[in-house]
Amino acid sequence: MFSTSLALFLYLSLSIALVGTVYKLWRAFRPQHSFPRPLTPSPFTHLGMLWKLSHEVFGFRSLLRADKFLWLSAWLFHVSLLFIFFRHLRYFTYPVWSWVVEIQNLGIWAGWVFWASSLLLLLRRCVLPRVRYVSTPSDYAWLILIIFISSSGLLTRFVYHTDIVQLKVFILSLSQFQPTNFPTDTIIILHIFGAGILLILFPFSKLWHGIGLFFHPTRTQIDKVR
Amino acid sequence: MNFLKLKIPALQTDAMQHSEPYLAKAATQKALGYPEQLVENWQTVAVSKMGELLAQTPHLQAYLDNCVHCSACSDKCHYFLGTGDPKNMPVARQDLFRQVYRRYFTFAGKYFPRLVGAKDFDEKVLNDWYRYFHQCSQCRRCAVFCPFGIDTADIAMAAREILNSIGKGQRYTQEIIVKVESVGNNLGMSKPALQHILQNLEEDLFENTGCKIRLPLDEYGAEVLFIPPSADFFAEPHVDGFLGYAKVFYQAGLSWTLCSDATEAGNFALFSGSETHLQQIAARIHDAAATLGVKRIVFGECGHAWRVAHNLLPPLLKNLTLNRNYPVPQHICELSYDLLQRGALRIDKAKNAEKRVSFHDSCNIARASQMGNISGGQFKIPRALLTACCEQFHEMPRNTTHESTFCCGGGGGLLTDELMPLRIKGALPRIQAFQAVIATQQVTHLATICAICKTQLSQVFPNYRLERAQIISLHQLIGDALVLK
Ligand code: SF4
Ligand code: SF4
Repeated sequence: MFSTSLALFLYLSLSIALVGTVYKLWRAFRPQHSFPRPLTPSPFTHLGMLWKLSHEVFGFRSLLRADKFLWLSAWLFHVSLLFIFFRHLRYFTYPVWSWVVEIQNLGIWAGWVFWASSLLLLLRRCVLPRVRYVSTPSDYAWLILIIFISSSGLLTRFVYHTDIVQLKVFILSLSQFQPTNFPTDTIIILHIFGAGILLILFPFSKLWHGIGLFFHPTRTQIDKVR
Repeated sequence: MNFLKLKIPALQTDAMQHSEPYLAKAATQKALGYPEQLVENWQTVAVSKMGELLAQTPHLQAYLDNCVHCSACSDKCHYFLGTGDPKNMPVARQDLFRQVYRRYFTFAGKYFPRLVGAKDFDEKVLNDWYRYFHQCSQCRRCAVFCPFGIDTADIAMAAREILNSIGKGQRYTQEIIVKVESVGNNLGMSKPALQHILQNLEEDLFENTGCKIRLPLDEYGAEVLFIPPSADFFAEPHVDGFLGYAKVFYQAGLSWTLCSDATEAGNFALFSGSETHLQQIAARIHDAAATLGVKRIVFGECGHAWRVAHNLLPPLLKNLTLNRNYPVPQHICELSYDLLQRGALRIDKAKNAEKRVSFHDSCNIARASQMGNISGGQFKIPRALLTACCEQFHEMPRNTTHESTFCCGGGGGLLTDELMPLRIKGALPRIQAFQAVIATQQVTHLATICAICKTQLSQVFPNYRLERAQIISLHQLIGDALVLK
């Protein structure tokens, strides 16, 4: 019974995330009825723009110029998130891809870095007046949710171990639409639940910034009018 | 010196709450097709106008949705650095808009307003809008440093257009738009007045140079249609730059003309956020070029004018038979640079020997346009011209020039007397950078290529123990160095 409800919740979150993503993409692709407004100096070719944009996406270049401490926390946060994502692929693939096996240890290190950098971000938000002034309750809530998910993940890994085989069977069974039993450990249940919430809100919140960036004229429009 | 250490002020809540521009008069609003005064159901009208703008410019909605409130932009605005008012932090300025957007256009804002900081569009919020969207010079410096390039200038333009449409237009900007549309320039100067000024200037030129340098008006068939900002006709130090252009044309042997219907490069509708008037004012240039049968269109030293010319004009000029061997439209700096490279200018640097010069990049040229069809040409070309005509050229600290340049403090439609306290405070970082090169390199003059920068800086310099005459037009320096005989 419980496993079925959890499965339903996960189906629901995934569907909402998908529908939301499609909706937001549709909205972003609407044509602009106004003059072009690249932020100059801007490349003249799309290839050049892609190159410049890749510095933003992979290196957070503008942020590096703006605020070194924030850059460090945010960059570590996002890179470790990427490795955590890769590590988690082992729960979704069968047989597990060999490179995913290779990076398991790295993924665990990333787990700690992620946890620490989220705390740094929260600390920064609470302490710096210029950040506190613009922070809404939801800004804090996001970080708390993320710290919660990351803590529960680390706890499952290091303290309250769960039956990983049973967990994986459950996850794989989701794709057959015949959910098996979910492990009964509270911490892993909370971990999964938190991740579901994150998924639901992803397209409708500031979490969208990673995709939204690709639709900002200041970062994507080339300078070719004249 | 390479880096200017900027002091980040402590937050002083409401420090600039008193600062607001005069409201546009009823007749002005009416002439532009806006309500004459604050309409009764302004809230509804504003929200529906916001919806319209979100549909027209989807990137506006993206900017509103994608800010993560990281505050990396917060100390990048000269008005914040100068005033310490937290609402002058770019992100807080955006949030004035964002809180209303969220309340009326997002699920979370409709049902959980407190959670996401959404607010009803009430009178208090409206007053904040009017005040703080007129404490933004739309300079885009914050967008350079935002990890996502969120452009507060764009949001401020949208906000002002919404204010226009509920009857709360800004007097200075709106009156200028009326003048340029009815008379042809921002100052409302008629053709006879202009003829008189040009005649006097021609006499001055003859007296000073001994050459018959002409300032032609409405001459059919000239090669170049020249569009200066109208302040160039008489304001100081602008007018000396105007004479500089004339000397360049004279030495190059180029036939040129002004057009009495389009004696204005500026386009204040960019500031007021009105797409309709923006297009309408820009279209005058097309008509002027068609009427006078010119082959080239060249713009004078004006920052936002060049932004409009560069980004918006080319498609409007498509059907004209112009000489496409030159950029259409072309900037006067591009023209002079081209002549310089072809060896068509005879320059004697020694004539500027007593001047030690630095260069102020104007925001709209630095961050919203380009020159010479090379990326970053807007930085290289003016500097190449300056080093060609001055022996002593020294850069201000790098974090205050090029794409990181600080606004003069008077751009974006804020160049009006009632905003003087704001303008003085907003000029602070630019002036600190200038003072830094004065201290280290004994610089005497700050050259620039924007009419607004020239007016603003010459007016605020005395407040910082600098002299008005220390601000100088780039083309004055060129003109002074030319060997005309
Ligand atoms: S555009 Fe310029 S004036 Fe406006 S908020 Fe950004 S930095 Fe400040
Ligand atoms: S830097 Fe960009 S994302 Fe960060 S607060 Fe400013 S506008 Fe928002």
